[in-house]
Amino acid sequence: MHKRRVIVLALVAIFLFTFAVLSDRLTKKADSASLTSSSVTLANSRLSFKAPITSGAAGSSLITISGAAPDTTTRHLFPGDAVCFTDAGNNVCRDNTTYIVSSVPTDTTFNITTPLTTALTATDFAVATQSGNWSVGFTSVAQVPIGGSLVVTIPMRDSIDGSDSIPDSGSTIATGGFDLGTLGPSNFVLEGGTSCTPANWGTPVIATGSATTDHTITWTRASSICAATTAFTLTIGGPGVVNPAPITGHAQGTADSYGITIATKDSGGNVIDSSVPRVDPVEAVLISATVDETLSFVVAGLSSGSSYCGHDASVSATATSIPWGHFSAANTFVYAAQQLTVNTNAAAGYAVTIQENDQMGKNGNTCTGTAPSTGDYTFSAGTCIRDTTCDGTCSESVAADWTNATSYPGLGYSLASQSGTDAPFFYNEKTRSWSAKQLADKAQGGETAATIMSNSGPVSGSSIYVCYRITIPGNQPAGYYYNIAKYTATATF
Amino acid sequence: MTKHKFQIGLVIAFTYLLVHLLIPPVSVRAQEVSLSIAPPLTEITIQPGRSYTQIITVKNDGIPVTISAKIFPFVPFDRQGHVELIEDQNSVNAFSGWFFFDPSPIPLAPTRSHDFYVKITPPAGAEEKDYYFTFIAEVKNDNSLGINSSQAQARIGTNILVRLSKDGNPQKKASLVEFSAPKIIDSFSALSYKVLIGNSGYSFFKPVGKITIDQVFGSTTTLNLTPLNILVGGSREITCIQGEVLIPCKLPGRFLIGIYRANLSFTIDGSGESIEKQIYTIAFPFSIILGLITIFIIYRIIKKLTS
Repeated sequence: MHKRRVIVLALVAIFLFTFAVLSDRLTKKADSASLTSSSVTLANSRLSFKAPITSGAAGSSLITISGAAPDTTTRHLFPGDAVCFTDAGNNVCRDNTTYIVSSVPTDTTFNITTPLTTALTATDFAVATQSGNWSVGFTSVAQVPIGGSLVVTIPMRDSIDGSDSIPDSGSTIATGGFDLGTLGPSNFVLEGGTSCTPANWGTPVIATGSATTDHTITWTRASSICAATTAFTLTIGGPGVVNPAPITGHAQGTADSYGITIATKDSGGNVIDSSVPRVDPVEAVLISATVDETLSFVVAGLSSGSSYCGHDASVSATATSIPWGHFSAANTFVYAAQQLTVNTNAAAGYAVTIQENDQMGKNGNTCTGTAPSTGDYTFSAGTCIRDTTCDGTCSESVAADWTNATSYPGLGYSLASQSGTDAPFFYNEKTRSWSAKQLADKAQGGETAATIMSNSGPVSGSSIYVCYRITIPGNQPAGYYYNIAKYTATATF
Repeated sequence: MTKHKFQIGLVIAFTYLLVHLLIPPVSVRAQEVSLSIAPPLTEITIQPGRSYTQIITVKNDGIPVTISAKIFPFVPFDRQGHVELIEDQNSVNAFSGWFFFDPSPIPLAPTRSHDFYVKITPPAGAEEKDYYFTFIAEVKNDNSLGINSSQAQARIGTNILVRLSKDGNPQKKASLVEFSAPKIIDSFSALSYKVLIGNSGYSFFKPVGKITIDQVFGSTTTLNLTPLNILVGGSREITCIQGEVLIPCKLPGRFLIGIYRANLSFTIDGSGESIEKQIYTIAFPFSIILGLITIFIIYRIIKKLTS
């Protein structure tokens, strides 16, 4: 009897051993591994804004939020954001109306560009939805057999409508997630390599999550095996996936990190390969700056030896003077030049005028009138280097050619563009040798300041050369002659 | 010994030159006068006897300078919005009681700025109308060069338009001085419009409006007028604006054909009755016709010569 029990036990043991070995040998096991190079890129990684309302009167543009979760402040709401107001059930935008945020004056209030149609209640939410397309990439390790599938799982907020286009928010990452909105099968485009023809995947099946189940999108391999090491690209387009609002206790500036599960399965539903790339929606940062309207004006002296307005400068000018020095020869042109540069963002532009306080008086004496009373340098009681008449016909307002240094002595100027086209006349205009004007003698001659640069709009770095030329007659009395040329830059009114 | 000293001297000289070569050069500021002023334009509506303070900031980005401030009345110089300062002392003195600011010379180091607090107080008995001024910051020059010279004095100004009104609602009246375009153009020519609006009221204003160009049996193009200030008693040539860019009032397109009806409409400061005017332009491909006629004549001449 004892021997028989031993035999039975031995047979049972052999059977169990054989069963275990064979079952292990004969069962086809799925080789589960990690998908490689998996990533999810959000076209818009900004968290949605969702804040409970305290007040907002009909006809008013000022909204006050309560300070409760999800968004406890308005710091993540920016001018220009589209915002709507849902009821406590998060069903629809109230009045089917979307408003635009005009300003955010405090942490608990914001203004909208048009007044509210109806009053808000304390159970409403202010919602600024952020959504965008996704680009999901991964490379399979093993092949996907016919009948196998590819499943992408997107986290959803527990126990809520996960496809109503209203951003959702959980108390934790585990209970929070994305809203699929109105995405349909055509919005999910799956592409693979040549060994995994995309057309052989079936139409994606979208299963919107419910309770604690997340969203899944499933493609079943309809025909032909999808080869191993296939690089897949999944694009979620259309209206995009609605980003969640911050979770409860969210620290602003810190991303809420959600895992997106990607898995390939065999026909039995066993996982072949899988991975869980993460997406990290976070608040946007408002970058703002205020640019004041301004006008800037630069006067720079130009050195001798370089050519401006068609002639080498004879003397070096500074920003504040043209030091002619001692005239070494009469009836000879002497040149000097300055550079004027203007920048302005004034909408109506600017103008620069030139005028002189007087003609160049000897030791500062007054040069009464606009022209000598006698000869080339006698002005009533004063002695001066006169303003030139060019070759006899120019004035402070009319330019003319000036070629004769002997018959037409005096001081004059011409212009050349350095950058832009803001000069009203040029030294080489009308095929002239040196087209010039007098400086406007406003104080003693009653002349009007002449415009030497202008533009009817904003300019950046408009620049001209102001080229001075002087020649004196051989009998000009010895002395120290000077005057002041004034440049006045003003914005256009 | 002498040779040794020479070698030491050579080493010292070489070291001195090397040190000078390696020391980074000190940055050199260009010798230029560079001033900026903000804001470039101030528009004020104020009651007689009341005060308003405007901060005008002058910044120096050039060599150290000393600046002083002055205020001059101005009149419009042309139809482009340029000013002509009235600098005679009588005119300046006439408004000396209107403005309070620090006129003392202010030394400005490079990159430093100075805020001028300009308090404007029109007298209680001042006539209700517009007054136009330019605040000038001018560089004080050194007058002691001692040689023949023309000194250059830089001045930078900001305009202040003062509308003096007890009720804040002065009478504004616009007149359309000119709205014109060529009556007939070649199809390859541009179609430009000239808009000149005058101010025959008692206060400056900005025209707000557009030119709507309809091609009969064709498309419609809209050109928005630039809202530029038009001062009392003057007129201003108005350009067009696209976004924030000023553009000529010109019909875009490379080939124009047919009748173009342009309707100008604008209001004063965007409210009130609209002022309108319509003009017509015919675009015809004269150059093409001329070319065809020329070809035909040449063809006939060649044919005649060869027959």
